Amino acid sequence: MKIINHKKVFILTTVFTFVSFLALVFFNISISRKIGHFKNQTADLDQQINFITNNANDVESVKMQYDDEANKMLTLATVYDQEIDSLKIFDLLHEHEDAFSVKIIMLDVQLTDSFPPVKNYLTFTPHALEKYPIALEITGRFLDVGKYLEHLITHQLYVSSLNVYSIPGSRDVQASIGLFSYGVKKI
Amino acid sequence: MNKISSIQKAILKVFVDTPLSASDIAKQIDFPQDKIYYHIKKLEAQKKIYVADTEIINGITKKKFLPMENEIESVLPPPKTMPENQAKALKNDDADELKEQKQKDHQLDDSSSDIVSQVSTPSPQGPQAGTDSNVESSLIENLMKHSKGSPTPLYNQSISTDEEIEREIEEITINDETYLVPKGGLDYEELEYRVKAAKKKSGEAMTIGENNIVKEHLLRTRANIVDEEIAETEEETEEETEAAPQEKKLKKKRKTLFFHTQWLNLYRVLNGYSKTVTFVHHGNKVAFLHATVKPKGFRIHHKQTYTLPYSSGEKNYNTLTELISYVLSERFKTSQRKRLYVAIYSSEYNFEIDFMKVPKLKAKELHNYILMKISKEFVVKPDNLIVNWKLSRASDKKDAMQNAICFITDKEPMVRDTDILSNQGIPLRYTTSIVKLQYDQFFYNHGEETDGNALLLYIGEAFSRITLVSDWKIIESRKTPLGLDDFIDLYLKLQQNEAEINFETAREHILNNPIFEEGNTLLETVYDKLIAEIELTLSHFKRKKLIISENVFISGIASIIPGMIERISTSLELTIKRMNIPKSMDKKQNEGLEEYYDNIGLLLDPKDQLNLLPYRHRQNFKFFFPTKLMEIVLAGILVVFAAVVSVQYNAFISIKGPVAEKEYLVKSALMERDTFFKFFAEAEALKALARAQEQDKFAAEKTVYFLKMLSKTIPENVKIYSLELTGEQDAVLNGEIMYNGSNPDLELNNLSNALKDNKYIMDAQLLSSNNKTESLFTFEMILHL
Repeated sequence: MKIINHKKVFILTTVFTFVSFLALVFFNISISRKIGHFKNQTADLDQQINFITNNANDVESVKMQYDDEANKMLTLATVYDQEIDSLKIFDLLHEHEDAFSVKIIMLDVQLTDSFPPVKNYLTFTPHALEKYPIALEITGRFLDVGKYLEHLITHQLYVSSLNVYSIPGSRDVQASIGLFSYGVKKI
Repeated sequence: MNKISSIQKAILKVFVDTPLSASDIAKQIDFPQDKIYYHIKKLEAQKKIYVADTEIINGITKKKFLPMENEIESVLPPPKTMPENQAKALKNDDADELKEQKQKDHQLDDSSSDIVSQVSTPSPQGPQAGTDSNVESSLIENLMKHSKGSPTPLYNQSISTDEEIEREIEEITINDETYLVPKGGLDYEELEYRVKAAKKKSGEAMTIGENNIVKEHLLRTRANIVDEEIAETEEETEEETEAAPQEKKLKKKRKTLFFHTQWLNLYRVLNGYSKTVTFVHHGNKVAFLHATVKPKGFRIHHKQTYTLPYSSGEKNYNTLTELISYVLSERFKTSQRKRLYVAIYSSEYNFEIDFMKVPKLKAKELHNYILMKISKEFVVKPDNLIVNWKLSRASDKKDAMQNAICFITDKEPMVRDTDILSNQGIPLRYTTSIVKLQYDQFFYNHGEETDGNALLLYIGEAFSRITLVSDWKIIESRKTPLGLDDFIDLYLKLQQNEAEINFETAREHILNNPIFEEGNTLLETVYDKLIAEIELTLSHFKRKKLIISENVFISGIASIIPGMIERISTSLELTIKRMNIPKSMDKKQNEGLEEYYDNIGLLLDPKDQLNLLPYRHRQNFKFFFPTKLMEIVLAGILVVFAAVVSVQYNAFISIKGPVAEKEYLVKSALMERDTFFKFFAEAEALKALARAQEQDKFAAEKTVYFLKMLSKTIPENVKIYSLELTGEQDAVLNGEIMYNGSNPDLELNNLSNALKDNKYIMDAQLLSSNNKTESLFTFEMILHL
């Protein structure tokens, strides 16, 4: 049986002690870093929570605001449930033609929305307000044309451009009118 | 085997008997001094040379070297090759030179000069021929070391080679071996010198054991003629003792023991002194003690005295190692044996003590220095020695030398026994001289009662020891070959007629009965010899101006003879106290422990100082304490590690929990925020659409209003050709104005002013005008709305 080599044991113990010490230091540092990281994360989360919570108080009011806007939108124009409903514009334009002593010589209604693409931002609103450009040429007395146009405003047909020319040899004028018609359409 | 270069061989050849420095060597072999150090270091590392002396010059230690004994042999030519006449001449030269030196330095008396002429067989090589065989055989060299009556300095019993002188030799035959011993007196210096210079007639190397045999013989011779000397020494010492008390008072500084109870125990535990087993071997008696070291002393588990040869069953155990092996295997399991602290003392190991002054050297250099010095003093091969020493600093710090107490023993029996036990898994930890055991008992058990000065008497089985302790240091120790065995031997002779009495019963009787009261006058003669030896030793101490303390302690088996201590006290006129075991031991354990005091002595020094086990064995156990300490540090680190892990883990958990909770909160808050932005975006989009429609309506109303206003504003004489609304802000108006005799510019101004009066028209600028007829002109205007 061999006697224990205490020198060897001492060296091994010393090495093991040193390694253990290093491991302790390393472990401590890594844990401390993790704890520091978590503390930062917690502080960051607290900040986020505070920020979000402050805004969260307005969610209800935003919802109410949205509801108001949505309801209001339905009142801004005629609701066209179907495409054919838009043809009512023709009727409307011709309806008062005689009453205002003007004659429609050309009417072009484009049923494409000419609003900027705002409705693309609507994700859940069922209806959207659309604007349809209408090209209209009428003849009649200058004052009648003006009255006719004033009348169209009440029916949510708004003048966007106007060129008036006197017709040579006549007291009438010919007006090329750009109009906008509106409709609330289901998306 | 290490090869040496030609330079190194040349270096070895330059040595005679005087230590040489590196510069001396370089000069002698005509070699560059700066390069010689390399070769010297090589030779030193190969143990070819050693540092034999030092000299401090301007604070720098200058080392001087001498070759090791065996190197002298290998380098110098063999003795027979030297021409006889040359050898004679050398002998005569050396003898004359030494004689002169002796006369000059030591002022020898006339008789010494006569002795020089009586040299019988001088070595042909002279003092420089120090080969191993020649070191042993060159008796003249050894005999020339000392002169009779030369003063020996304190601490330095060694004989300087500078003080060599020739001596007459006498032949002494002991146990069929003839020794050549220089003739001389029997006082201590002389006796020491004669023993150290003794040689075997056969020319073989001496051992420390054989030195002891010669010493014992000379001491016994002296004991027979001691009565006359006592009378002489008493007269001499009377005057000297008067000065002693004054010096004693100066030494009254009480030294506190460095290690106390708990700390001492801790230190012992760290050094492996927990479960201990000790064997003390005197003659044929082996005292075995199994004890555990406790904070307040010892707990004895077993004690037994064995007699060698010891029989158990059919087996006989003849030697100490066999007995140790048997006892340990009987009492302990193999796994337990590894953890035991095993210490032994055996009177067969021939321990010697030497006090010397040594230079301040590194441990390795000092080892070689001491080894060589002792081997020269005792005329023993250095390879056959085990030495250990303890240094005590010189009082003067500038002193280049320091005091050393050296313990010496023969290597062969020690290595043999250690190896035998090691092979059986028994790790020997400690063995030392009885002087150290007695000193430890004094230091640890009686130290606090004294001021560090004491006279320690040891009366053992075969010999006695008188040791002087001054300021906690052993400064002198003398051995005398009288002990219990002498009493027993004489008692056996007296009781020859009684058939039943043998050595054992005689021993028992002497140890347990007041023998001095039985009127055994012959026993008184042994006692008287013993007292005479002690008195002679004390007078020797006094002659050396050593202070003999009033603290006198006695131990050893013979000291337990009833009435012995009181009798010695009376004879020496000193108050002698018995060495006691630690006071803390309970009385039950104390009973019958007298025989085991030496065993306890082996357990007292936790540093294992002056250990005489083989060097490699001692070195191995040098790492025991740091290993244990490191284990404690490791355990501490692991505990701290566990604590830190626990704390950190708790901190980690305490943070990780809320983080998850907060993450969930953030997640739900983010969802809420998304909802907010979703509705907000939808509402804003709807608002934008409504606003756009509102803006269109406003523009249309503006246009209509503008037309209305234009129809009201334009005078009758103005006819409009066209009106173009080019944008929201501008309108271009073309028309004609009819006028009759008026200024057309005035008409245009009127028109322009009329238009500007309208709050919807910011400005009206005429772009062009043209007279069409005398009463009609056309115009073109731009209106900023």
